[in-house]
Order: sequence, then C-alpha cells, then structure tokens
Amino acid sequence: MLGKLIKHDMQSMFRGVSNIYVAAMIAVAAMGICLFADVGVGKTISSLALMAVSIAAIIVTIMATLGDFKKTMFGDRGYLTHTLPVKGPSLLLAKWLTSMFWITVSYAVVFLCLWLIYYYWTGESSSAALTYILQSLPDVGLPTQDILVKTIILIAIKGLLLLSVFVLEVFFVLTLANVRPFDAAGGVGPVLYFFVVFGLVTICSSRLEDVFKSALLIHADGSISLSADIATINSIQAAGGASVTLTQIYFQVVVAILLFIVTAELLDKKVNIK
Amino acid sequence: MSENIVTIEHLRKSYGKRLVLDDISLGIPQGKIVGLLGANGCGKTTLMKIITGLIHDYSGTVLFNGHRPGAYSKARVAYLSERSYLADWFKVSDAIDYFDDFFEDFDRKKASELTERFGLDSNQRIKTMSKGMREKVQLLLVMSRRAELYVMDEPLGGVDPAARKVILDIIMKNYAENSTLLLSTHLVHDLEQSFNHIIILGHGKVLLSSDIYDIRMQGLTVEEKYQEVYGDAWEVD
Repeated sequence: MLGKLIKHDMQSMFRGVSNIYVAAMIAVAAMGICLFADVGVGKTISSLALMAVSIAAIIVTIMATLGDFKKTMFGDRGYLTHTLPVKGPSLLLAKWLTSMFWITVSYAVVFLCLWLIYYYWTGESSSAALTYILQSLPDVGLPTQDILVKTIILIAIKGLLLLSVFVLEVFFVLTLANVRPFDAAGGVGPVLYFFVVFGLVTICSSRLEDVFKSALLIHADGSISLSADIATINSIQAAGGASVTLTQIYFQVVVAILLFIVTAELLDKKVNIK
Repeated sequence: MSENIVTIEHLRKSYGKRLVLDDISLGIPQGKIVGLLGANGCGKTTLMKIITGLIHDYSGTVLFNGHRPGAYSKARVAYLSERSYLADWFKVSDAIDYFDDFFEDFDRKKASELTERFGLDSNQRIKTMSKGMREKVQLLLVMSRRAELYVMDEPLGGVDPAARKVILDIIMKNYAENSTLLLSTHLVHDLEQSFNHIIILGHGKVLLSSDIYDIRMQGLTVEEKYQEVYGDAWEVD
C-alpha cells in the first residue's frame, strides 16, 4: 500500500508545484532567445526572472507540500484519505517521503538555475574564471577548492535533514490541531502550536550544543573524521580545514522519530475529520 | 434473529458542551437495508463518521465484525459522504484508478458500466462537473465495491425527485449480495419500501430500532411510525 500511496501523493503534489517549474522553463527559454537575438535588456530581465523563480521554487514547493498535507488529510479530501484501508504510519511516511522528494528537486533546480545564470553571463570564459576564483581561495584565508566543495555538500545534506525535521514538525502541528482539545484554537491553532514546537526544538538543540559538541571535520588533506573534542573542532579551521557541527542533527533526528511516532498514533486513534 | 455487523455500546459523543450521542447502544443487523432516520443535527452523520473511522474522539465501544474502526474495517466498509472528497483535477478515470488501487473489493467492470449508466464522460475532470455529477461519480465508486457494509450519508439529499428513483434503483441493484446498507435520509417516504430495518435518532438517543416487519404488524407505515416516534423529539429542549 505504501507504494500506491506514494504514487498518488506524487501526482497530487506535482499539481501543486508544477507551475513554478513551468515558470523556470519559460525564463530559461527567454534567456535563450535574448542570447540568440543579442538583446541586452532582455538578458538582464530574463536572468533576474530565473533567479527569482529558482528561489521561489523552494518556497513554493515547501508551501505546496504542506498545503497538500492539510488538504488531503484534514480538508474534504480527508474523507477519502481516512477511509482508505491503510494505517497512520503508512499515510504519514508516504506524505513525508513525497514532500522530501519535491523539496530535494526544488533544491536541485535552484543549483541548476544559478549555474545556468553564471554560465550565461560568463560564457566561454566561465570555466577559466571559476578555476581562477577557486584557486585564489587559500590566498584570502578560505579553505581550498576540495575542502570547500565537501563542506558545501555536507552543509547541503545537513540543511536537507533539518528541512525534513521541519516538515515533520508542521505535519505534527497540523494533525494536533485536529485532535481534541487542541482543535478548540481554530485556525490560529496550527500557527500557535508550530511556534511552540519549533521554539522548543530550537532552544533545546542550541542548549545541547553548549554542553555537547560533535562535528564532522574536513581536514586540510581532504580526509573527513568525526570528533566530539571541542579543542580539535576549534583548531581545524586554523589548520586549513573546515567543520560541520552535528549536535543539532542528532537531537533533531531523535525529535523527528518521536514526532513521526506521535503523529502516526494521532492519525490512527485521535484525529477527527470535520 | 440475524447477527449484527456493527455493535455499538454506550456510545457518547459531544461537540464542546453539546451532547450529540448520549450513551447509545444498538446493533446494525447484517444483510439488511437499514434506514438511519432523524432530524438535522440529531447525530446521524456523526454516528456514520464514527463507524467509518473518521471520528475517534468518543467514549464507548464501536465494533465492526468485532474490530474497532481501522484498516480492517475500512477495507470492508464503503462510505458515501455528503462531502465531495475527490481531488478537483481527477478525471472520472483517475478516480476509478484510485479506488482500484486501494480497495481489493473494487470492481472496475462495474465502475465502467455505471459510468455509462450515469452518462458520465470518463475523461471529464471533477472541477468541471456540477454538484449532482460529482455525487454521481462518488456513488458509482462506492457502488462498484463489493463491500460488506455500505454507509451512505443522505445519498438522495441533493437530488431532484426525477433522479431520485434512478439513483435508488442503482443503489438497490448494485450493492453486494448479503452485504448491509446503512442509509441516512430525511426522505422517509421515498425509501420506506426499501428498508428492512430502521433506526430513529433524536435528542442524542436511539428512539427506535425496529424491524420493518414489526412496524407493519402494527398496521403502520414507516412514515407513520416515524411521525409517531419522532413527534415529541421535534420539540426543542
């Protein structure tokens, strides 16, 4: 059943996010036409439009996936969703996986669009210019190209993990807002509960970082290791490396697992479809 | 005496301070066409939503074939809601695919036959349909299941008198053999020949749960019995 749920959720969410990708394609086509026709103003406008669309892609995708969850679980379509012969964990897992798929796609689109804009403006000299910039990084006290790329990849993965926890937090508060007595707050309920949950998780994870620090270290020679020693973590940058802290991730993964279990339980045993 | 497909004991449900179902206990007999009757706001929809697993916030026991409402019962209960629960962008064919994917008892062939019978275009999207057409799509999806229990909330509610007969005919001819039909309605007169059993709700209580045979033995029609039982229940507290 999980596969079928994912299939239908993919289709449903695609309806919500497809427009922004159509807009991105139109901007790319406009850029191509302007380049071919050598229209200076058109090149600038189409590039700015693509940049705006690419950034909007993430926001629109997040909003669309969360909106789809609310609509299909607690709107009129909830009457169908909650009469399907599936259990809460399957419903939730399918929604979460499809949301994360589309959010990852929007991430990829942003990177692709930024690369396209950069290449568009620098043309054939792009490769040489980029190589020059990257080679000059150590001269201004920044890590080498290899370390920088690894750091960016790790930060992107961390960002995606934190985003996946954020999605679960929103799923949880939307579900909680349909359970008695929490439904008494009406439309403001989900917003109120979100700030409470998000605030608590943020405060707790930053407090935890004060007492326990763990990080992935990217050494100057490009190797990666895990360390919980504060002195080592602090000294890595001076030695030409970089670090990505993990304490927040550990805590938020635990929070995500708990939120998933509680939300699935609420969907199975407590939620009321109005 | 037939066995009950649904057993309800000491069911209480309130919305805030308003008590809608007040300690009701009843059985829905298996293999019967059961009419759930009562005025607006008497708890008919709430009771149906509890049986179908859409409401969890109640006290008491509700069992479908010995199971609490959940994945087991949902695989065997077909629910026709008053609400339009299909995605706007669905075509009729998408909705049929959806039901076919999730319900093992769904009969595609019957769905195609009913699509034709209702005069629906399988490529038409839900968002371009009138309210009546949407109701027909939902009805054809529900009636294409070989469910053990059909729960239908006001299936004739928004339908004009001419179409009522056709829809009623489709319901009666297409529900699975030996299954149970639980129908809520205000239109007692239109449905009285179809019922085998009626349950009348009022003031949060079960005012009557009786076999039609027993009512007829008293020389009464369902409508007359309804008026007799419901006479007092009309009065506002």
